[in-house]
Amino acid sequence: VTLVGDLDAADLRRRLARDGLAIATGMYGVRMRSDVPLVAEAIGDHYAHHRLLDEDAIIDVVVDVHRVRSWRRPTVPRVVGAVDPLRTFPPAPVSHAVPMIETALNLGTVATGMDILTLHAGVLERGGRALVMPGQSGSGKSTLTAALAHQGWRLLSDELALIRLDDGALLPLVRPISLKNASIDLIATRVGGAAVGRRHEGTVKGTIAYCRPPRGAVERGEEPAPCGWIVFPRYDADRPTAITPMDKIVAFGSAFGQSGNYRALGRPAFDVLTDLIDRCPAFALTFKDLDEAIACIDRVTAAS
Amino acid sequence: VPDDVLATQAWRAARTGLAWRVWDGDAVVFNPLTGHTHLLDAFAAQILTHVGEMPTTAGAVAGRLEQEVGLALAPEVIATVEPALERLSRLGLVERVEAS
Repeated sequence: VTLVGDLDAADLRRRLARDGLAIATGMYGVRMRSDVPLVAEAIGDHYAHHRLLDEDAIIDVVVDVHRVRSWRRPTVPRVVGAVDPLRTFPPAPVSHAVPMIETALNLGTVATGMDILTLHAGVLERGGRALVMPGQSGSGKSTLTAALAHQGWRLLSDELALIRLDDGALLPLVRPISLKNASIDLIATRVGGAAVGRRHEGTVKGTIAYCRPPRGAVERGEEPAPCGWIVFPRYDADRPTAITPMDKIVAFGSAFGQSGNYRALGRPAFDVLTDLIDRCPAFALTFKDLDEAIACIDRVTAAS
Repeated sequence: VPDDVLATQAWRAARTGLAWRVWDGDAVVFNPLTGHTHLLDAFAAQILTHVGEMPTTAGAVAGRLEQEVGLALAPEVIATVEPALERLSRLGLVERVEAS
């Protein structure tokens, strides 16, 4: 088994620029191509624990981020990205190349199949049960996900909860955790063992940095987990930290609102999501302090 | 139920194989014909429950609600049954039919 971290920097750059680097991210095989040195550096860092796939492995998602020169401003290098040849991102500054390839991977994963319901959520596992934290950008879910992933929980996914329609199991998608703005320093300085990479400034979401997923989570990247709890986090600096049980109908509506493909899936999505809400206690978490939020999550997950 | 709320309009459940889940009286309903999922409060869910496959007036639905709770409903509550049926009709969950 060869890990991305086993490759030297020159070899990694060469592979990325030619045929692309094929790696396993949980249940998905992805191939990333790029001629952008910043991307090569980031992949070498963020995906150090991921294993390379064989030449004949099945690839589910192919993404490409490469340099272009605009005829309007030929001296300013830009990058464009693509999930497949038909779906491309508009040109952006080179400094956006890493967020662009991560976004492309997310979009490609959502589009892979019709047998999985996706929610915009962080997912972790402890004691054989998954904690699903749906939330929009800015809710604090990635901050919580990064902290919990280094404090006794196994990371399954930062951006996407992948719910298998057959049985409602949460499938891992172990990739770098996307941190934004103030949460970057918070995780880098207060969470022991968190490896936070270079900052990418000026994106539509502000400054973004990625936290490398812990090695143990990557190694167990093909182990699904049944859902145990659903927590809807909301960062609010003006309110005290509190966690409260949610009515199931409200939890359903909130989870529904975070799905990217519920409508496309139809009845199977209704069945799997209602089953999930039926089986799992749901909570609303308002937090202004990371340690208090983790204590709240530990308390409710220990009790139920 | 007073006679003056027995409307001439009648209603029946949409014949589309709705899928349901009820939590504490509230309901989430999937309509396979439209692909839409609807969240209904307990009152709307109860009304939908009491609209059967046979044409039913708002007054009859109110009567079934009274039977279920074992109390006479206040007139202002009964008066909300017909508008609730109209809302459910707009969602495609019940159908308007001519009363016989």
